[in-house]
Amino acid sequence: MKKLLLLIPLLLLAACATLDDYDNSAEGNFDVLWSALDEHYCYFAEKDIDWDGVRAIYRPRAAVCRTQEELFDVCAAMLDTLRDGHVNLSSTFNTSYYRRWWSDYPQDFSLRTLQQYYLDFNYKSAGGMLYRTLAGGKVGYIYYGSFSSVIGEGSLDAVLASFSDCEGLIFDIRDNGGGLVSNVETLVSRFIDTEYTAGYIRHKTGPGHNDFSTPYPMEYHPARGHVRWDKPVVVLTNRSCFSAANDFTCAMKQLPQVRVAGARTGGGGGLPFSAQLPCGWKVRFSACPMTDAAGREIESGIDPSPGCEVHAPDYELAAGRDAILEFAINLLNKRTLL
Amino acid sequence: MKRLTVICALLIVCIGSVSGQPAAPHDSVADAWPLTSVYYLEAGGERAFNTYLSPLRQTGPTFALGGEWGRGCSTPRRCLSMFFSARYRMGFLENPARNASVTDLCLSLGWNMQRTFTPFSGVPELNVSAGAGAAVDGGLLYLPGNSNNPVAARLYAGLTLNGTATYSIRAGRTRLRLIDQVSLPSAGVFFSPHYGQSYYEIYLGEHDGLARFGWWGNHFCIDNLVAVEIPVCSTRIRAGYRFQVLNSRAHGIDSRITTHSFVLGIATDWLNITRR
Repeated sequence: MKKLLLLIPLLLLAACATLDDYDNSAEGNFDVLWSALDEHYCYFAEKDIDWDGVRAIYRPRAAVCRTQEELFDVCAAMLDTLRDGHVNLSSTFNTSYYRRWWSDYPQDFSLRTLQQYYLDFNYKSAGGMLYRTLAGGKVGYIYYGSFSSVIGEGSLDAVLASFSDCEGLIFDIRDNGGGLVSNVETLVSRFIDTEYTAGYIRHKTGPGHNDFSTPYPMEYHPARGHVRWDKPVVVLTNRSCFSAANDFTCAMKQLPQVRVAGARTGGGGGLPFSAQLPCGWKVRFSACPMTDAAGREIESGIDPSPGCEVHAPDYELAAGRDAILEFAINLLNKRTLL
Repeated sequence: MKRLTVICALLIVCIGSVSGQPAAPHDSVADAWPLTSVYYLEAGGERAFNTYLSPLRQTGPTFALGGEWGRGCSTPRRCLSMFFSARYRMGFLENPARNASVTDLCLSLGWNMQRTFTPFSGVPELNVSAGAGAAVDGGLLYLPGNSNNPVAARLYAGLTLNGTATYSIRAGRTRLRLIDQVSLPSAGVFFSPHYGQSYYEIYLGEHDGLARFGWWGNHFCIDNLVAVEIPVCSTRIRAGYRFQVLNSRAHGIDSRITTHSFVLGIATDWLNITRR
C-alpha cells in the first residue's frame, strides 16, 4: 500500500508537460528555429539534407549577429538550404522566400497577353475565375489565378453550365501560387464520376527525420447535385504553379479525359505548418508530404502529360501569342485528346 | 487502468446506493430539499503552451463565467448532494514578443454526486464532501497566424473525483463560510491529433488513434477553488480564488494550461414546496 501511495506522485509527474524557457538571444532564436525544422520538417531524406551539418555552418554566424536584420539574413540563408518554396521566415521587416523554384525558369505566361489578345478584355468573372469561350464557342476557357479564396459551388455551376455547348475545356492555372487545399477537392469533384484516390498524405509521428505515418489516401467524391464536366479538359501549367495548384495538377493529370500542357509545375507537395520564435518571428515549413496515387513525391513538381510540354517565350507573349494556350486549343480542336 | 476505472465506477455506485434511504413524509417544509445555485464571474491570468501550435509559452488575461446548481443536504441524514456545473472560459493570450495573439476557449460541463460528513464530531462547523461524477471539457487554442496547424483542439469526457470542505466561522454577527472545492478528472477519453497530423488529414477521414484513454499519467487536470461566502440579505456573496491546471501529453504533443483567477459570485438557496 505504501508503495502504491509513493507511486501516485510519480504518476502525476508523468503527465506534467514541461517547457524549456527559451532565451531571446541570437543563439536562442536560432536554436528554436533549427529545432522546429529538425523535429517537424518532412523532406530531409528526399532532399538529402544534412541538417546537423547546416547547423554547424550557420550557428556560429548567428552567434556574432549584432542586429535583428543580420540574424534574419543568416536564418533565411539557412532555410534556403532546404530548397523549399513553402519555407518562409516572417518578421515585421521582412519575409524570406526561397524563389529559385520559379525564378530559374521561364515564366511562360502573361496575364496581360491573355486578357488582351485572347479574352479581348471581354470575359466574365465569378468565384475567382475569369472565363469565356474561345475558338468560336467550341472551347470553354477558365483562368484560375489563386486557390486562396473559397470557390463557391454556385459559381462553379454557373461557369461550367455556360460551357454546355463547348466540346472541351481549358483550365488555366498558370502563375497560381496555391492557397486552400480544400479547393482542390471542390474543383476535382466536378471532373470525376466515381470516388477517386488522387494521392496520399503522411504526417510526422515523432521528431526523427524518418518518423512518418503510413500514407493515407486522399479520396475525392464526385459533386452530386452539381454540374459536372466529362468532356476533354486541358490544364495549363507553368513553373509558378505551386502548392495547392501543384496538388490540383497532380489530381487532374491522373484522370483519363485530362491532359496537362505547358511547363513543369513548381512543386510544393508538403502541407505547411508554422512555428513561432521567441523574438516574435514566425517560420513556415513543409510538414505533411503528399504523393500522387502511385506514391511518387510531388514536391519537386509535376511534368506535363507526354507530348504536351510547351513553352511560351517572352518575345512571343510580348507580341501577343501564347503558345501554350494555342497548343491547348489545337489539342481540343483536333479531338485527339480522348 | 481498468482497475482505476472500476474503482471510480464503484464509487459512483456506492454514493448512488446511499440515496436509497427511506424518504420522509411529504408535504412539509422540513422535507423540501433546497436547490442551491451559484453564479460567478472570474478574471485572472493564464499561461498556456501546446507544442502542436508553437514551441513557446503564451500568456495573457483570462475570463470565465459559470454556475453550479445543486441539491444540498437539509438534514444530517440526507448527506447526499448532486450538482451540475457549467463554466465557459476565454483567454486572450500573446506570444513572448507580444506580436501574435492566441485565443483560448473552454467549455466545461459536469455532473457530480457527493456525500457529506462531519469528520470530527467535536467540530460541527467543518463539513467534508467527497464524490465523483462525469465531466465533459472541450476547448481550443487558436493561433490564427499558423498555416495548417492554427488550432489545438481538446476534448475530454470521463470520470471526475471531487471534494469540498466547508468551515463555518463567526465574524462578529456574521457567519462566514469558507470553502475549498477540488475537482480532479481521473479517467476518461480525450482527443489528440498525432504529432504532426494536420486537421486536413483528419477531415479526409484519418481518425485512427485520435481518441486516447486518459488517466493521471497522460492527462492530469486539477481545479481548486478557495472561497469565502458572506451572507447578504437572503443570498450569499462568494469571493475567492481559483487555480486550474490542464495538462496532457499524447502522441508527442505536450500541452499545459494554467490559470489563476479571482472569483466573484452569488449563491442562493431556493426552496421549492409542492403539495403532493
